[in-house]
Amino acid sequence: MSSMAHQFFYLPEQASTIAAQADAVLIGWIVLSVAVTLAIVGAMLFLGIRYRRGARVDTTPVDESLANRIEVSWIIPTAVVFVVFFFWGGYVYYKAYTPPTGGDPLAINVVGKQWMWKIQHSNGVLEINELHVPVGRKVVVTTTSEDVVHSFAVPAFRVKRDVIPGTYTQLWFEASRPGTYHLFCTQYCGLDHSRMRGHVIAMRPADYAAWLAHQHPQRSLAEQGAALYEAYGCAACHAPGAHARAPALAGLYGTRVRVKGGGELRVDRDYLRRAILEPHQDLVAGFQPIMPSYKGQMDESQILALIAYLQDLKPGRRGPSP
Amino acid sequence: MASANVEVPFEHFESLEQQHDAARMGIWLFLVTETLLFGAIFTAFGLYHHLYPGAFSPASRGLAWELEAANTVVLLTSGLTMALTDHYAFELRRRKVIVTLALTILLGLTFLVLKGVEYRGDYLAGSVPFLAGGWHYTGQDPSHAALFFNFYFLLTGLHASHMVIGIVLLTILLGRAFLWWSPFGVRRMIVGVGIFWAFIDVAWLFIYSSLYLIDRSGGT
Amino acid sequence: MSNATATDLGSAERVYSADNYLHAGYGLRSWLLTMDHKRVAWLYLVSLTVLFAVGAISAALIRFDLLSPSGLLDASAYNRAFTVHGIVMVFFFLVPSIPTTFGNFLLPLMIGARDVAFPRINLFSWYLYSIGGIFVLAALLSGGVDTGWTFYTPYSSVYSNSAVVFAVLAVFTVGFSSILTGLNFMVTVHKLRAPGLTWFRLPLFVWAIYGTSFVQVLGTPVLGLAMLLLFLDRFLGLAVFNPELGGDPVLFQHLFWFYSHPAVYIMILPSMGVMSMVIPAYAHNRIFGYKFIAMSTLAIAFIGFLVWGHHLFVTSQSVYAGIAFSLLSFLVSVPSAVKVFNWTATLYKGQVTYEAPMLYAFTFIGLFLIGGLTGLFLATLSADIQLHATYFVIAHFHYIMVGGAVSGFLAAAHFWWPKMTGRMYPEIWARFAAVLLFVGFNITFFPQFMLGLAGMPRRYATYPVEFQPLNILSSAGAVVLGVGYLLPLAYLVWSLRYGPKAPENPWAAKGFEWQTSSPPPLHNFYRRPVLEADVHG
Repeated sequence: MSSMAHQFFYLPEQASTIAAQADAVLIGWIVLSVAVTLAIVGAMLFLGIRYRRGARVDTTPVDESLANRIEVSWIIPTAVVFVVFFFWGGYVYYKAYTPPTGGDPLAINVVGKQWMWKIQHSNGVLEINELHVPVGRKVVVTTTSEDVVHSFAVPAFRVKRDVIPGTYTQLWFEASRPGTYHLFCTQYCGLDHSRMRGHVIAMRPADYAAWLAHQHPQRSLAEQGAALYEAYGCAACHAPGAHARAPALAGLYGTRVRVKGGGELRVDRDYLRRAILEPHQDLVAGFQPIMPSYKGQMDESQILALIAYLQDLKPGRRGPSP
Repeated sequence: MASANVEVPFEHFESLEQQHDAARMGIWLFLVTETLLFGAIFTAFGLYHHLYPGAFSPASRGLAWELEAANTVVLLTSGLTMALTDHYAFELRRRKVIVTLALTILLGLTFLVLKGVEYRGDYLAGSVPFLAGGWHYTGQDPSHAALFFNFYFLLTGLHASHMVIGIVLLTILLGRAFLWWSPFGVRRMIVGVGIFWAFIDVAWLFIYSSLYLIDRSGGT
Repeated sequence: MSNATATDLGSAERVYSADNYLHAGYGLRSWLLTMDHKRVAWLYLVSLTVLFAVGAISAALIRFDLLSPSGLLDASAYNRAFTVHGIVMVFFFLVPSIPTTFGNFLLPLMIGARDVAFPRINLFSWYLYSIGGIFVLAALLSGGVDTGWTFYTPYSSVYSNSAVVFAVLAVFTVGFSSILTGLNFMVTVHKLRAPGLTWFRLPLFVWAIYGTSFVQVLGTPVLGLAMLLLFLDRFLGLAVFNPELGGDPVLFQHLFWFYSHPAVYIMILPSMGVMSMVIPAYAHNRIFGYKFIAMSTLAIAFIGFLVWGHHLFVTSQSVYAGIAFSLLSFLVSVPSAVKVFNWTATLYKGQVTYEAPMLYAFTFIGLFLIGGLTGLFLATLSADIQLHATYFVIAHFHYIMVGGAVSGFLAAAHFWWPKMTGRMYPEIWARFAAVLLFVGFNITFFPQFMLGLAGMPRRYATYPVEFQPLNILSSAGAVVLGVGYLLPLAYLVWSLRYGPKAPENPWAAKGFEWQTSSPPPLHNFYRRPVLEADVHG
């Protein structure tokens, strides 16, 4: 099926678990479109020849009510076909864009920046324009941009998501066959947009483990975050027993907080990012707006590292772990 | 050629009624486009107000609402004088038209002067994000409050520019009313400008309500 | 104008000037200060041709660059080329083309009026268009723009170092021109119809222009605002779209596409209207399903405002919003499908002849069909993930815009050329050019569907080497297509001097415009045209 899609319909090889379903929709449309085009063009040519000037024609006009019934007779099947494709495509879209819960997915951060992709693994490995992943494991990618809108696309996996500055967007995939696949930026982002390319390298689990072992990252992502936490003196206000009143951060990730002005928000990564860059925007209720903003002091990769640290931070830990 | 007493339709119209109908529809369609323009700004403003209430509400409460309440009265009164202009123009009463037009222009200029006073106050208070030296805001969440003030200046500025266009048109009308060379032409133009002026009034009511009033009562 | 004499006001018949409108004045002033809708149409035709040439040259640069995977131009030049191509072709050709030329010329004629409702505003619209064109020239002379015609922020508002402000001013100005034209035409159709000409007796071209005008009036102000905000963000640092200062870059996309999606209906509805006139004329048959086509026009105009989010399926837009927009996008395709069925059915029991306009009409049906069907691929959410921002999208909209809208424009040009100029065009050359266009077009753009399926992204100055063969094929096709465009320009201009004189009704077609001389007199009719038979009856 994959090679047929590849050969007849120009689609890239199916290298992810969702590719076959995505391709089915595409091929369905291709087949239907060819059929409809042949039918209408065929009708046009047939009628155009059969009723050319000079041909013998019964000129009694088409009865009005018959004409109306003919209209309905082609509107209804058209609408039915549309509804079928709408549901089918919507269903696959929903699956493609809903990251899986549970199953221990591999978490990858991607920061797009004119004109390269910076990829952070949670064990601290940093890649530029290349992403190594194991086959058969779900990968959840969190992306953001340092500057303009980009878009992260791997045609062989049938994934694509815009990478937007100021917010995190997510995509997920599970590679199903080993290989090296194109990674493209698919949102025009300036001069070298067409060179903002790379590869995703899917490896068999054993090969992936071997590759990982060769990387020797100095510190994990969370450890990098811990170093930043210390470097920027966050403990001065946020450590338990600190003299300034600031929300305790241990165990905060994933909980809900009340914010000033009413309402509750979930402390997810987006919230933490905003709290670092715009601390007074969604201030936790009961605290004064005294936290300074770190805008311009940390880039998106560093913020992601810091957030990784905060995600891991549990009560009982006194400070950054070694 | 038009005699002094009978209005004659333009060449491409069949009748006077058709011409007036067409002109009326034209001006109302134009207002539809204006509504969409302002409507899109209100939509964007509404979005950001929803996203950053902590910044927008206090910023709004800091605005000079009493001054602009007075300005609202000025503007609504100019709507009255404009309606009177339209009434007298219908009856082709030159003197009365001149007086009411002049009053409308005066009230319009008053509005702009008061607006200028408010803008100066904004600058001195440090609420002008896009001017060098104009931004030293001390309220909550300054960077998103800047967004509020950008919308404030955009909405009031766009409104003020429409006021300027309206006043220019009214001044032209005043001149034409003074000369009285084509009374029917003056009357036609007054109908059109009057509807435009009414729109500017209504737009102001929406602007004043969204920028100044909706956050007026509310906690911190 | 001053030769006109009216008999008593309100009489059923009037005697107008007996002049051929082209002889009612010869100097530059008679053209540049004209209030005759027919002359305004020609002013537009000239400006449009100039701007189309700019757009076509930039297209040639694009296809030239793409001959090689490493790009034959440098990336900066390429980015400017595709931006100019988009801005000029969309805003300065496709949106105004048929309404300001054939719409201007024919609308009053088709409804039995002497001119549009507001002739001075009509002329003013042309001046605004031309000023917009001058802003484009200014942008080019300042080194060009490199944001893409979609101006996405924050690249366009903060990062680009190109002549964004000139481009924004150009789009804003031409948008205002578009609003005034739409407003003019709507009032004309509502208020200036001849007695007895009720809505459901109107020619379908009038319906098409009306639907188009509806979209222009309601949609363009929002584009104006998007441009204004972009201008302020760039010029004053306003930051409505700058995430560094709390703005939302995706808000720009919403505001932009709220207009730009309905804009594509502005671009196609007039051509559909042309089809509804040309096909019955050369099939010598009444149109099949008049009411369905008229109502479909309104449906497209209205529903077209509800689908813009399908351009945002892969952004941060919610999945649920995406589902709503997908459903609506399918809905808006139904009326277009109805029209395609009805045009084809019009051939049934006809006496079909194949003059050049009919060849363009057949081209339209085939290519619009493919363009429309591939649009449905993109409306399908999961398919859009794969195809968004690839060459598939480019092929889709070129099938509709060139295969559809431009074919319609050329069909209209040939169909009404005798009426507008009093000359016949050379039929053999015209048929040859139509066939050449069809062949060249398909060689250029069909390979792009394949490139898109294979994953080649759009707006790429360089590309992976495996995409080269199809790119070379596409560029070769563009040469043939270019000849297909140049030929009509050449022989139509030639015919102005050397073409045989045209009779009042060379096609034996129905409609008020065929009841007056070719070319028409200054005030359109010698006698008020009588509604003897419905145009589509």
